[in-house]
Amino acid sequence: MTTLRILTLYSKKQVNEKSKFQGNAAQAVVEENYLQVFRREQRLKMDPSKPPFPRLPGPTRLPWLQPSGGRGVLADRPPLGRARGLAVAADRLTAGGDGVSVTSAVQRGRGAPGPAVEPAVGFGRGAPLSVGGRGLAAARGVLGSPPEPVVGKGRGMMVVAQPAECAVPPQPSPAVEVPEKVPILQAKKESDAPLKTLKDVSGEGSSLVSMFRGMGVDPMESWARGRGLMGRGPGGGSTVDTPPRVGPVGPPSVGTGRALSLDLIHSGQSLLGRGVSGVGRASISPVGFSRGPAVPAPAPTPTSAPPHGATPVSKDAPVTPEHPPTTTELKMEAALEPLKKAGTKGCPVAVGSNYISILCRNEAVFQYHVTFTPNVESLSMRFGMMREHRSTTGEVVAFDGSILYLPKRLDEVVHLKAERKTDNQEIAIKIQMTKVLPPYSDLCIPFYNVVLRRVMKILGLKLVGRNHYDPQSAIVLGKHRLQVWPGYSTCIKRTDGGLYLAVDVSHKVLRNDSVLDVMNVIYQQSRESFQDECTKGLIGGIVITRYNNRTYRVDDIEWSKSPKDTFTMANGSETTFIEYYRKNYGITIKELDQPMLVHRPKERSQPGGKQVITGEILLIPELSFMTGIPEKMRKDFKAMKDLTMHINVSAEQHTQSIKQLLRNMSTSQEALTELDRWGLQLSSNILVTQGRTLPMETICLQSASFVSPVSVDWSREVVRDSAISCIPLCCWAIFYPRRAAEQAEELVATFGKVAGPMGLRLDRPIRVEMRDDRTETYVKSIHSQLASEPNVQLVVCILTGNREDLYSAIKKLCCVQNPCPSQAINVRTLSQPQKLRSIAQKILLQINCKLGGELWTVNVPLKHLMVIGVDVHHDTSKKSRSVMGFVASLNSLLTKWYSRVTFQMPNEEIINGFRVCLLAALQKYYEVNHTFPEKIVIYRDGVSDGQLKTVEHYEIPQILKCFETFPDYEPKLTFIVVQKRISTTLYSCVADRFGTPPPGTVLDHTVTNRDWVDFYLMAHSIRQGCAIPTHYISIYNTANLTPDHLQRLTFKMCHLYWNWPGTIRVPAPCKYAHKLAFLSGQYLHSEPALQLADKLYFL
Amino acid sequence: MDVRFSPPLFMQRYQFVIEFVKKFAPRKVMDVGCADCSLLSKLKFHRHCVELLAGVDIDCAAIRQRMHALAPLTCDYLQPASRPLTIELYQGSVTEREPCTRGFDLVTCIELIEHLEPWEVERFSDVVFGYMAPRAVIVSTPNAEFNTLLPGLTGFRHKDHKFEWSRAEFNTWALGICWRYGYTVDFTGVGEAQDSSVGFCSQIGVFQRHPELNVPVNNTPVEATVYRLLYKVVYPSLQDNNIFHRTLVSEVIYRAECLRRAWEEEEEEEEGVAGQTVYRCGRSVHVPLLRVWACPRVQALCADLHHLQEVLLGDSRVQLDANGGAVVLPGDEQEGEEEEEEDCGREEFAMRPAKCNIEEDWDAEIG
Repeated sequence: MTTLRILTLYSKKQVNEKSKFQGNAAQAVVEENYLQVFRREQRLKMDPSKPPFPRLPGPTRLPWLQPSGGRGVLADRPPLGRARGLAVAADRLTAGGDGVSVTSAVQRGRGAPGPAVEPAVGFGRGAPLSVGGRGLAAARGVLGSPPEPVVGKGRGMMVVAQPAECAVPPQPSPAVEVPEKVPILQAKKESDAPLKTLKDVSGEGSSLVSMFRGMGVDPMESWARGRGLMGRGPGGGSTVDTPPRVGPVGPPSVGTGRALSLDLIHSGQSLLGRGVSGVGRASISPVGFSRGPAVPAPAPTPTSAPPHGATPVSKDAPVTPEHPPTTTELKMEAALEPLKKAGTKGCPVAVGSNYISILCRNEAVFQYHVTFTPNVESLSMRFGMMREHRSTTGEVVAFDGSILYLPKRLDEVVHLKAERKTDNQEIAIKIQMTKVLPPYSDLCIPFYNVVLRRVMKILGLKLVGRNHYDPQSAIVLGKHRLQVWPGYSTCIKRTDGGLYLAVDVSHKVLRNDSVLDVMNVIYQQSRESFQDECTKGLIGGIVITRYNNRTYRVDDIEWSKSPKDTFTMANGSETTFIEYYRKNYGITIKELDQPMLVHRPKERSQPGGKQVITGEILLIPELSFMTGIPEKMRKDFKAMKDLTMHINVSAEQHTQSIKQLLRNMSTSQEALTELDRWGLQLSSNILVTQGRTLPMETICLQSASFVSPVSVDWSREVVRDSAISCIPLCCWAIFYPRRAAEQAEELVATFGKVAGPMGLRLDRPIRVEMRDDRTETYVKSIHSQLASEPNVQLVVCILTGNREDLYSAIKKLCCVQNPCPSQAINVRTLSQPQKLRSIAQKILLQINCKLGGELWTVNVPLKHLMVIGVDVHHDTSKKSRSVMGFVASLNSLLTKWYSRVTFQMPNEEIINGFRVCLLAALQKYYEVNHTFPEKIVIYRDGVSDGQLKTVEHYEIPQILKCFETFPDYEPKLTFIVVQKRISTTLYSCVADRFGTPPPGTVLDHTVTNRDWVDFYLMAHSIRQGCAIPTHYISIYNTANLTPDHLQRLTFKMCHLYWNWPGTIRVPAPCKYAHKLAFLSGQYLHSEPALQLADKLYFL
Repeated sequence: MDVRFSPPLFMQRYQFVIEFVKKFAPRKVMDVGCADCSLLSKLKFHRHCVELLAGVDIDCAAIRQRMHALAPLTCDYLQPASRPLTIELYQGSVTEREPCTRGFDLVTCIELIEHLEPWEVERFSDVVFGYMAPRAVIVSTPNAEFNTLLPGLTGFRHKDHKFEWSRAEFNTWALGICWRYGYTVDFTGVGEAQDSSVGFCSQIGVFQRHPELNVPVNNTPVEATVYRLLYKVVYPSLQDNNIFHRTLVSEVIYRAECLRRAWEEEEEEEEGVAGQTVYRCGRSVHVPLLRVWACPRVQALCADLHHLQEVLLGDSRVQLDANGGAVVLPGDEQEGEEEEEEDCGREEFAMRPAKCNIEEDWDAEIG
């Protein structure tokens, strides 16, 4: 068995079935959807304990790398800058009243200063001025109008907005007059000086924003100005001139400086052909700017939001901005350092990814607060009343009962009337504007996703689970009674690069059989153990019901119930299942004596904090269809080949599918209208940007070393030269049933032949031939052998057939009861003489690892380093505990590993077990090295995006606390989350054709997460299907590893999995931890013996 | 007195229609004033003989709201129905003549007419009974006499109601219709009060056209359509030849594979009736069609063996033997196609010496 595993490619793309599981499918009722997402958002936002995310707001990013098609038209849309500035200005308005919005304001303000000011000096001069100049020229005309500008910062913005309005229509004066350039340059110079002084004053490199704040200048404002000019609308123009008028003191001129520098960058970009953007995938290197890698963060697409007819926020806005106390702001800014996540090492390479940029054409999304007087309690009544006022609000509405979002600007306060039908009471409805959100605001994204789901429906795709599939193109595999539906998983998200539609190609496997059919088949095959077999085969499976489109996970089977039983309906009346389905769905249940399937919904707090009723849901097998690949089929190599042929699509097919979806969207008028409701416009091209291929690593054996081939495969090399260390095998035993005697003999002989070159010393084994191949026979023989000969270093077993129970028994014996490294070999793997040699070599390598030998390594230039891998194995039937595997390196070569396993009960925190493991590993490290590691790098697999914050705020403090166990011990810690199951794919991109990128390809911008230092690394080589990189997120990094270090260390670690002479897709310690957790959870069901902890016995 | 109906009144109205559909077995049903299509989405489950479900409403936003809920479910694709079903939704007014509304078996107007101005009711009657002239019409409308039982109600039940009729008024109107357009009417209703003298809460008239009367032939040449088609979906059904073939072939292959597996396990021991046993021929396995056909699932799809043979002969996914009496399954491919690529070009890599890497020291870089 183990041998089989060696031969299995690790990188095989798994059919991502399990991930499809979901409890509460996105519902069709769109209004409700809005409501839900909306409340979720609200909850998030209102949570005061939630620290502000250090996110980089789009507008403050530098736009040059932006590869969006939308950018191309930017220049033709003069009024752009104005509206953007405006949106934010209005946003500021609420700042005073509402703590949350303060946060967002601060965030938005931040990020800009660092990169923005600097580059202006770098290259902004001269060339790009034509654009800025024009803006200025246009502004001239309106300069007179700003009414009493020195009102205060928040107001200031409004003031700015006002002239902007007056400036319509813009007077683009194409003639660039020299005199107009001069003031700009001067302003810039002036502004440079105060900036520098400021820097000095502020001392500890606090972000520029704080300086602005310190000076009483609202960064928001200056940002907005910058924006204005950037867009080079007339509004922008006016902003430039306004500040000096407002008061030619320091702060405003700083503002000017910023605005200007932004402008310079921007125009510079347009002059330089704006990087990759124009051509879509030309991927012109942004290096031309020689700005270093720290700032390639491209501006979000939304920058180019074209506003038309924006009305400025009226000055008598009731919410006069109050500035939150400066102290709070300063505190917040500490976390707001722009995230430096771009590395430089390696060769630039054009990579594509399955992202489509989205242009927000709305000027803004407006948030209103709706009050009903006298109060109306009923939500549905509130909805109803609002619906009656569609003529005011428009058709596009997201309303949760009190907060209303519209893509449309209403008056500051709107008064409406409605009648309460129950008592004819007249209700006054007051709709008051509370916020103007930029159209790409996080608050809006949930609405966009609702729109997206609608669009998918319009295109005729069916929602199954969370993704949409096309039943028309179903592939029918009649032989297996299943259908494969091609489809997409889509999601609109905001990344470092702006607003994107992330599209992944997905396949859904559906079965033509109802659960009842499956049960019947099971019954025919095994009558005695029918219930057991059903439990095994059905529990954990996902079913889809006949009468709606929901999917349910089967958690249990209720044998004592049948459709004849009754249940209580919502209105309190009792009815039988038979009657219920007949009445509601016109379905006649044929089999009256079938058991029922039980689904236990996950406890989930419903929006609004209400607990959802968490009862069991009973499903009728006859009316439920199985989804996913049947377990039996999974083990059938040939059947899987039939299937994977359809599922594993190449990069070429992958991109074709995505392009097809884009084509379908762009040709459906209805879909376009739907998107347009929120002002969304999709690019027609797949994102192409620049990634890097990391340098190839040098693989070191004992004396030989070589640069990893491009194919990242060194299977030949490792059997030709000596491994780093080999454990002489003097006393080992081989167990085989009589009928496998011949194969066992041949294997031993072949071992003898191939061991020499590999540097292995191998004595003759103790041969134990068994009468039969029953499990007890194996267990007894091994047990008595180990008892009589305590020096046995290794147990080798030849197994006949693929027998899980036997494998489990042997492993339990050798890993728990009588600790001894063991190797199980399926006799089938030995059946082909022509392959025996290479198989024997692989087994010997594996045996050497299990005994504590070391195969190969790569150089990691960090001293006193400990690398830890953690993975968790969940039992699919969910009943048993989850298992955490923990593996830590013990030496500087990273060739000695210490491993532990802990079991958790379903609701137990993983961290408790983790601490035990970490302490043990540190102690072991001390034993070996007589010192503690100075740097600890933890690779933690299996953390979803939603859990990142928990890990950061809960697990990491506990880990740090762990170090306090040892006196004066404060190691540097880097904690990296490893995500394998992601929807991002990378393509190589050569001459307009998409393919698979080479191993070592890394992408660390544009599609990355705004909240974290993260990157995508494709370490393994792709043989089949599409390249899914692994996503690495650095959650904590006091070791101060630079992005380059993080990326390269990770890549290096991907070389060190000794069961595969090549790179794998996750760092080796993670893979080891995975193997260990799997073995323990699946076969041992208990912790392995500690004696084995310093060997890779679980390989 | 608290008037609360259980099940709710609207459900009772729908249930009434559903029961009627079951009895009357219409093939084409149109719901006029379908609003958010809730009746249609009920009817799609209780379709009995219905093959065309249409909905009309003047409010396109109301239709759009939930129209996608009428799309086929996943399971409709997994097990296609034997009868076809098409659902069409139109935006339009019932006071206008629309050619595609003709020829229906049943038209339902649930709580619709009270939303029409009295002068429009006249046109409505003419369009529905005179022009569309379906075999049956169900009209439901509030019974004004019942309103006294509704606490706190002044005026009409809904502010958009233009009128609410008493039973007598409704009867008058209905009998007028019958007289004018050749229908018979039955009066009934849903929502009974304890005091039965006021009648039902919703009164219902079920109109049926005199069977002897033919549909008034419309001599006007092709009229222009005035309705706007908002949504149309055709359910997968076995009536669709492609779907039928696909389903049948899948069943046949599956059945044949099952028989072959059973036969392989028993190692050719069984000696059955000649022509009924699975046998090997060269590397392939032949499964008699008769035994495949014996499977109830296959028979349900194709009751006639010859028909089955014909279908399979014309389909490339299944191979029949020379006389068409057996399904030919390809033999097991020999193993050993596992890809153990023998790449020769790799030698060079092996020989390539390690490049003298400049010693890196990340610790220094971190500082």
